[in-house]
Amino acid sequence: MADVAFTDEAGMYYVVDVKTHRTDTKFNMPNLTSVERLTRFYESDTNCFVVLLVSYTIQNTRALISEVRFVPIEFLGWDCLTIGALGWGQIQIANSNFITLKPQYSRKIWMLELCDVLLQFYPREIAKIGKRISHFEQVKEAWVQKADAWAALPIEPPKKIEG
Amino acid sequence: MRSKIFYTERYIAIQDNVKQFLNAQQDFLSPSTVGSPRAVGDAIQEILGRNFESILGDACAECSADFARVGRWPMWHLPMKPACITLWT
Repeated sequence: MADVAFTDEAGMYYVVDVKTHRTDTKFNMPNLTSVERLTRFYESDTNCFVVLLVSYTIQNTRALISEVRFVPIEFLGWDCLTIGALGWGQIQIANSNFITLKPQYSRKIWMLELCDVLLQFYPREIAKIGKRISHFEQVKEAWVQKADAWAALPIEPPKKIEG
Repeated sequence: MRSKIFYTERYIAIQDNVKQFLNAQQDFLSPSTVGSPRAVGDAIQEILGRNFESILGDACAECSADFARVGRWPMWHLPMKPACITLWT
């Protein structure tokens, strides 16, 4: 989700995606954005997709903020990101407990790395789909061979009562 | 084009501002919401959306949280201003 947007005095346009993380949970894998959406957004060099990661613990009824990270997505290392199989692919944080930051990392290099990640991801998805296709070919064959115990029974016409 | 926020130390100051601001909020959780990470996340997001312009300070020329409710990132090929976004609902 993108929650806030702003422009700076130089005309750069930022959308900010707020992500919260309770640090005492063992596993948290938030979606950041769609790869297709991000690549379209980054067609303009004056656009910036920013992640605001808020880590907290709970004490009684209060959230105590332990850490805040406010960084463009390209400052997040690929060793802490993963691609989720939804639509074109969703960039996800693999585990919010382990985040690698690369301050002032080059957007160009990061985008080239994104392309490399996707060029490995899609063939794996194709292989998975191939397995699913053959699985359902077998399922279909089993159903073709099965006797149809659920076929509609012929309905007998009502008998005439003579009296 | 390099961001003047992220290729300077300004973003660190913003991080600190967010942390300070949220820790200063007393009553945004209730006993019924505190146990739900989703409810806490929604509450934090809502508070930040309402106050982000002041948190950013002079880093922000124009700020909006409205667009999140009406559609995400419309017309992003253009370096548009957030005030325009509601036109694209």
